[in-house]
Amino acid sequence: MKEMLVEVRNLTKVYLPGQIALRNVDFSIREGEVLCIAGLNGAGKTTALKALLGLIRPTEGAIDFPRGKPRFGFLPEETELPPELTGGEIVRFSKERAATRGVKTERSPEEFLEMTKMKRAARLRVLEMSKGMRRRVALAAVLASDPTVLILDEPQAGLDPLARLELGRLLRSRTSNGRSVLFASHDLTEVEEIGDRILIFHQGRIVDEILQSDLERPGDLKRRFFERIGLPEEGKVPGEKTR
Amino acid sequence: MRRLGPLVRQGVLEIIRAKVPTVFLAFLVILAWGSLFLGSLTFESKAAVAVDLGITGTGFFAGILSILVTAEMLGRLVRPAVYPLLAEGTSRSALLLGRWAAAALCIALFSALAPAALLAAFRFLGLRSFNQSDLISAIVLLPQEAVLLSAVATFLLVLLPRAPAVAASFAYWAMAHLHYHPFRYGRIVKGTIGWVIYFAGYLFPDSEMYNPRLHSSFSLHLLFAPFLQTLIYVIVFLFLAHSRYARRDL
Repeated sequence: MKEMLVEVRNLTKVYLPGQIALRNVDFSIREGEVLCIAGLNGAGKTTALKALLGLIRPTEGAIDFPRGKPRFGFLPEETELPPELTGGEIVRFSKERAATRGVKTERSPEEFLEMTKMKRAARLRVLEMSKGMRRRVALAAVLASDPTVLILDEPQAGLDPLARLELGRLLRSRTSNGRSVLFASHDLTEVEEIGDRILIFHQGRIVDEILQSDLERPGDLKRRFFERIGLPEEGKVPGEKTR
Repeated sequence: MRRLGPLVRQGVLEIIRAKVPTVFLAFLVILAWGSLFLGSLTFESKAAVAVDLGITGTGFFAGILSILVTAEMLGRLVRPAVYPLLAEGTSRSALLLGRWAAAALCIALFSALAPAALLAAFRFLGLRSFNQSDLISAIVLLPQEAVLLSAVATFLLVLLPRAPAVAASFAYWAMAHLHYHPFRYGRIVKGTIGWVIYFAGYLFPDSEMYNPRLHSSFSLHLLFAPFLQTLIYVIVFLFLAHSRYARRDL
């Protein structure tokens, strides 16, 4: 059994009275696994990630770190980088910040950029980069802080098919040395391909937990997902009349 | 403190890349030339008019620079731009202080350089018999006012959305200069509320302390007195900003 790094218990977040983003959510992150959170827009995926990272304060519940607080790295859904800095500088500053916390890495900023196939962005300013390039530079900056738990929110947003493939490989390769990955997405195909364990969020609750080994055929996740969120057929709204 | 280093360095680099030094140089050339030109249109007080316009111009420059640079640097504190930094373990206080320190450093430097460069330009261009002490006072006082204004803007930026915060910072700056002691200017409102407003005025910095014309005729001791006011109010406003920022959901 893999060791537990993070344990989330009874997590509830109420933004405004009647606007409940999370309802009594329990889950854990284990060493060396890729945990995926899948759900529709507004299911509570991002709120769960933000609460875990301390960006928002939960209304109720607790987040425990049985082995001490791990080093988190986070790639948010929106990539905002200082527009006038180059890719190399952004990664270098991330590396410098990590060094002040005692995290020393031998790799150069260019090597981190190469990990996300963005070495050519080392001398490019952010304002000269495309959306996908910015995203990959931001990921390289996160990797430069050498996180033990890498958290990504909709990581595929803005990436071309090749970059998505490379991202999948990169995430899988990280788990081989005991690092963990948690990512939230509504792209079920990618979730099915990358995740070791999949949590299905719906209306602020976890409605199912699926292991990769439970999925026999491609498309199984999609079928199970729509079943669990109460849609009998993919794309069909309940109560909708068929002509 | 060690953790502030990379944050401050990145902030300073962002300001430099945003072409603030270029704007500063362009502004100085226009201001020096404009002050001398307008001064030359007068009959006998060429030097006095040039110096007066120069001080007014540098004062405006320091205020505008302070608010805009602070908005650029601190306006991102509540945006997704800082999520990765906070997630990786940078504390909110380090982030706020690091970004503010970078802004304050550049604001103070350019606010001091502006009157200093103007003084040098007037001398170089052969302006005779002008009151240098006003410009020398401005070198000491303008950076302090600009840094204080930056701390006020920082507080407003973590309290309000960016556009209203910038507007409120400009309003605060204008108010502080339009009236002497805006809150204490007579007791217009009578009764208890009037007294509350009157005493509330003592909670706000006295912007007239940063008036170079007022200080040039006073002693050196009085010239440095605003340092204490600047220090106290910068600490107060940064503390208020931090108290709000540490608690808010991002």
